[in-house]
Amino acid sequence: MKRDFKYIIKRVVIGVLLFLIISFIRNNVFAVSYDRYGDKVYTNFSFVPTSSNWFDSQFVYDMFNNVNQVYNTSYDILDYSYVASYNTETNYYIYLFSKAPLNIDGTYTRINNATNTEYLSIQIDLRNSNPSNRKYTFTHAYNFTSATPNSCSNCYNSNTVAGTVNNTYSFTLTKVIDIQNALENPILNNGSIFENSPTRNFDKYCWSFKNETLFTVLPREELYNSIDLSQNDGEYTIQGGFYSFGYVGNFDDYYNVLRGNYTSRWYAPMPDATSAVTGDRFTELSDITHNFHYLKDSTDLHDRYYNLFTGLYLLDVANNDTYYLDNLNLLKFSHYFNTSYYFNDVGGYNYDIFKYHPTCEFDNDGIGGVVSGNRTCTLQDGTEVHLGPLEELDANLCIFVPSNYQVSILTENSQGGITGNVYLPDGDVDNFTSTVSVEEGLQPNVLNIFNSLQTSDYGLARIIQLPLVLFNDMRDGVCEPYVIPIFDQSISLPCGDTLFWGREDVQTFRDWWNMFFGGIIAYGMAISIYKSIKSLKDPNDDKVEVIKL
Amino acid sequence: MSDIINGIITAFFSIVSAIINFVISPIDQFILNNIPGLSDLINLIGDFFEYIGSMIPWAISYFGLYPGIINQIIIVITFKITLILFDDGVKFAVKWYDKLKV
Repeated sequence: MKRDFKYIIKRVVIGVLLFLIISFIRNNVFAVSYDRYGDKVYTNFSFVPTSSNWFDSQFVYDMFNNVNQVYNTSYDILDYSYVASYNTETNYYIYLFSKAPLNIDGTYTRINNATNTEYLSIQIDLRNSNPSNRKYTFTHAYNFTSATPNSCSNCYNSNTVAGTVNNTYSFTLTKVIDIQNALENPILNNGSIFENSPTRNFDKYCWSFKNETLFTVLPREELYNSIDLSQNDGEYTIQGGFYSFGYVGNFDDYYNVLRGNYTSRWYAPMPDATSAVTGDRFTELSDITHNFHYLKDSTDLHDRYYNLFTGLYLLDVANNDTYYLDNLNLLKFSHYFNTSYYFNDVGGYNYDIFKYHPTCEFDNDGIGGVVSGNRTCTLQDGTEVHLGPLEELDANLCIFVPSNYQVSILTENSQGGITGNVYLPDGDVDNFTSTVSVEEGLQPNVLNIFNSLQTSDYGLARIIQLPLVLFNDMRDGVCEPYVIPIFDQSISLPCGDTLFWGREDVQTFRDWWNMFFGGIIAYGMAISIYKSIKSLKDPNDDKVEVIKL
Repeated sequence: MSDIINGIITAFFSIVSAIINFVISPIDQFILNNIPGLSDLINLIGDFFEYIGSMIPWAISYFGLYPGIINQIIIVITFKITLILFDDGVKFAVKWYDKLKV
């Protein structure tokens, strides 16, 4: 029996490893050709200006003000990358974010083949794609014949940029962020943003509030406190490109948000609450717009665009103020906790979650355009956040939390369909205090025994006691990408969650796999108990087992 | 009940750990004072194991196990370790009782 058990374990382990290796190869070497989601959902991330596209005409309209665009885009590259662009009147910044290793070997050409039309062509060589060495060409034609802005019914903000048509501009490929390899070079100086950002499945917890609500974010040591990035503005500029889409995790999650897997309609603070801001574009954007902030010396138009796109339109970028990351939205994609707070205005208006925060300073109410003056928000654990609908409207606060964790909320006006622990105390419906806490789940107390042990930190005693430490590592250890330095380079081996287990489409398999593995362990445990009890019948059997260190 | 079990197991491991410290620490001290090279070597070995240990979460992540399952594994290990104490104690008592009967 014992031999059979070992045999099964060995085969299972080999099978899992093979499976992971195949997944790794599939996801990385053949990333582009691998249609993970079964359809061309990623066309949503193209330049095509459709109303349901996050990267749609409104943004492009802003980007190329007064320009009538014609797009001919090869979509394939977008399967595992997306392109974001900014315009600063004279420069186009193209940010490419790639899940797959993406090598830009392209040429950027500008072709004047018509009097009022220019073409920008980008060639990108996806060397690691399949088929190999296939070049992709984006060709964008911009027609400058239009003297007046085109109709833009859902413009993001049509009044920000002066309508100067500029036929002579340079084209700058600013930077390529290879997410897959970004682990080696975390872009933030604290090294935590891209470091091991496993694919997460997010649970959505929502609570509905009426009138003013007081939230207290409970302390949690893993949470980020405010980070002053004011000294890192230069380095952080490219981050702006990334954060312009407001996401702090990896692309799978990002895609999930953008693909509308979170079906609720979310609204972020919009530049103009009175304009027609309903629609998929905004709702999709708003899922991710609360993750920001930077930056000082944001004086140029590029930064302004960035700010607009991130929802930082409230900032007066001309003031060179220092801004802070806020931890309420947890820019740190830690292993412990990551969430975002959204304010869902069912009435079609949009609220700024920080609007009522005592540490946020505004010169005006922040709705209706760019605010002149400071805005410094330093939200820390333990601070109180007032969420108050401006009018007689209900508002929903939703928190996205990785599935590994539980959220408990103390409220009396919870919205239906919440998973997790929701406690409903008695109290005044219209005026109550809510408490949000996040706790790690699935950690039985009985296993704390190894934590309390005093182990030696040197010598033979340390070696002998190492198994106890290893137990702790097993239980409490958090996976970090394993980096193998090879000469002047390094190879980063991501965690299993990043590669495979964290993916949304394998969760069912993961459940079964855990059930199977747990069953084997339970079986072994039962056998062990049985043998031990059986050996009790023989009092002469005083064999003492020892742990082999 | 779980608190009692937890306390017993904790006490057991604390005793084991304390005994190890009590017995081994003088030896370590002796080595440290008189054969520092050997002490360094031992520490390097410890560092190596610790390094290996730091990879455990990474290795575990490839198995895709939920924390509950990992805890289950630790429970099994804990169980197997602590059962020895219980098992031997019972056998000792039974043998003693058998001798008394004779």
